[in-house]
Amino acid sequence: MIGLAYGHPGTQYASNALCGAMVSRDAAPVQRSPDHALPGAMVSRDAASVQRSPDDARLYDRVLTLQAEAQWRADLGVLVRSPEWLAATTVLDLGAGNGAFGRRLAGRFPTKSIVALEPDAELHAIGARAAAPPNYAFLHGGFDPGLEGFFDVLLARGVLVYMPERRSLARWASEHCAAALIMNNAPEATSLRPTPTYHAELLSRTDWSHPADRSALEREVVDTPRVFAAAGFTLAGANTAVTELSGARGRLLAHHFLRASAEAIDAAALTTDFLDELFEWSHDEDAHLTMGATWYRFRNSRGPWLRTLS
Amino acid sequence: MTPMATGWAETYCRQLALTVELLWHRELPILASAPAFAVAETIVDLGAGDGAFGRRLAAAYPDKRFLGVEPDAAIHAAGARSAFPPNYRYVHAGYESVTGTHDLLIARLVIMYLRDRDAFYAWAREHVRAAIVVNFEDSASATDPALPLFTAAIEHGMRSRADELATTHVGDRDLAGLPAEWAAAGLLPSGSATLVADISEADDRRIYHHIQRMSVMRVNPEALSRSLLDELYEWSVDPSARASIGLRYHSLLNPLLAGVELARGVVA
Repeated sequence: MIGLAYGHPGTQYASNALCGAMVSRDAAPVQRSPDHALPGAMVSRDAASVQRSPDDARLYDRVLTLQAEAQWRADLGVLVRSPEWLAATTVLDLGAGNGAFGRRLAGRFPTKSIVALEPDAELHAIGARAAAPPNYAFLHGGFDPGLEGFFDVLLARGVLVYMPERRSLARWASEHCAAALIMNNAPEATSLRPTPTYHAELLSRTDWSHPADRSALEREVVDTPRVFAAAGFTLAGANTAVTELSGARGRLLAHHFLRASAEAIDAAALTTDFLDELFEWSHDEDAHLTMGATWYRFRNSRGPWLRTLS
Repeated sequence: MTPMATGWAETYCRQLALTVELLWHRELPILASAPAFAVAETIVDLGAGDGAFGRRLAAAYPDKRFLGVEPDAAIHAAGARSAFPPNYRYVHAGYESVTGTHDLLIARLVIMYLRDRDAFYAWAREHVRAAIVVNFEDSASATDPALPLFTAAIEHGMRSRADELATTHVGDRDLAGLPAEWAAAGLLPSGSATLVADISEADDRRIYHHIQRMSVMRVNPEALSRSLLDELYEWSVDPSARASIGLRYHSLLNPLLAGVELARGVVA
């Protein structure tokens, strides 16, 4: 059994390196991909590996940082309306990426203790260099059914699609978490208008546009309630948060997000023509990027006193 | 000012729009606190560009009446495609065409484009009661880390195309002698203020990144290499990158036209 420790608000955690020693480094690897952040694109890194950047983690870090900035308001809007989130004092942020979103959450909710796990060593190393609030512990590790600890909320934001062992996760959560807040990207609420041709061409020659991948994504989205219901959770609510990046500042954020995403997919595709087209797109007053995210709120049918029950 | 080609004008207008987006909420409190602005009812917006700043100003002060003059046809045509508040009249003209007496002249980032300042002063003495002149404050403007490719491209463009650009592109440091020049021309300096805008936040850096790119597009488009684009982009996504823009505000009073009330207010 592996122990997870979290501190209390206002206390200083031990260094991430030290905390990291408390979790499994051999946890099932989670494949991360730059396309995770792209509209409607959700596949494993392997599926998208046309020409990988030599510095994947650094490029992916940029994508995640921009994505967290873009979707922050919409995601925050969901969380502050979630009784499960508002009541929570301890949170497990699974698949935290570079921690960009989690750090914002911890800063916004200083009375919640957040333990964040990221299995990608390089991504974790980059995120660990960023200044974090004292109530945010950013650890290197992935989900392991042997993880110990009790949490008011399991937060899994945009990561379930990467986890073939999600049924195992749901079962584990039913014994360790009073609630689960699961966010999946929502392709139906995602659009890029007008579509830059070079960008579209880049997407068209990557594997995630393959129908099988899309089907896998849709299956995963549909499966989420069933998987957690089977593990003993009750669906308390679901809604789709849509972020629209338009207006001068929104388009420039979208410009950077699209560029960073494309660079993370295939840096060689970023020709001057590609960049010029993206630049022109960002100054088209009618241009916009919308990013959809579906949030599920699950309550543990066993009730909130998990420690006693177990 | 040499008329700009349409492509240049389009880029220039985009740049103006982003500059206003970046600085508007920082400039407004300074402008609003200027006594000459507070009491003015009729305002000439000299070198209004595409009207991006003037539109916001007019919308914020619906009780004041604005006359925006822009001498460049291509820029004016681009600006005229936008909707203006009813209290802002946007015309294709130079200051020479403006007649009558007006409470205030706003010359925002435009003095550096005027080659015959004596003629301008003579016109101002005859037509405006007060003026607010805004220039870049070079000593308060900086980027960190430095952008060597960008800086070289701009400097080279300025040197090699000065005539074509028809501007001296000087900052306030080079215009430091202007208060004495204004006094000699009969316009009394009555106050000044400095804005140092910290634009280091991520979304401000993204805007500034595009402003810088457009500066190169206008001044030295041949220098817009992939390496320069990458330099600007890398700067904009660097969370430790810093930048500031300095603006210097000068308030002037025209003793020949300023009424007692305005003079008292400005002096106070």
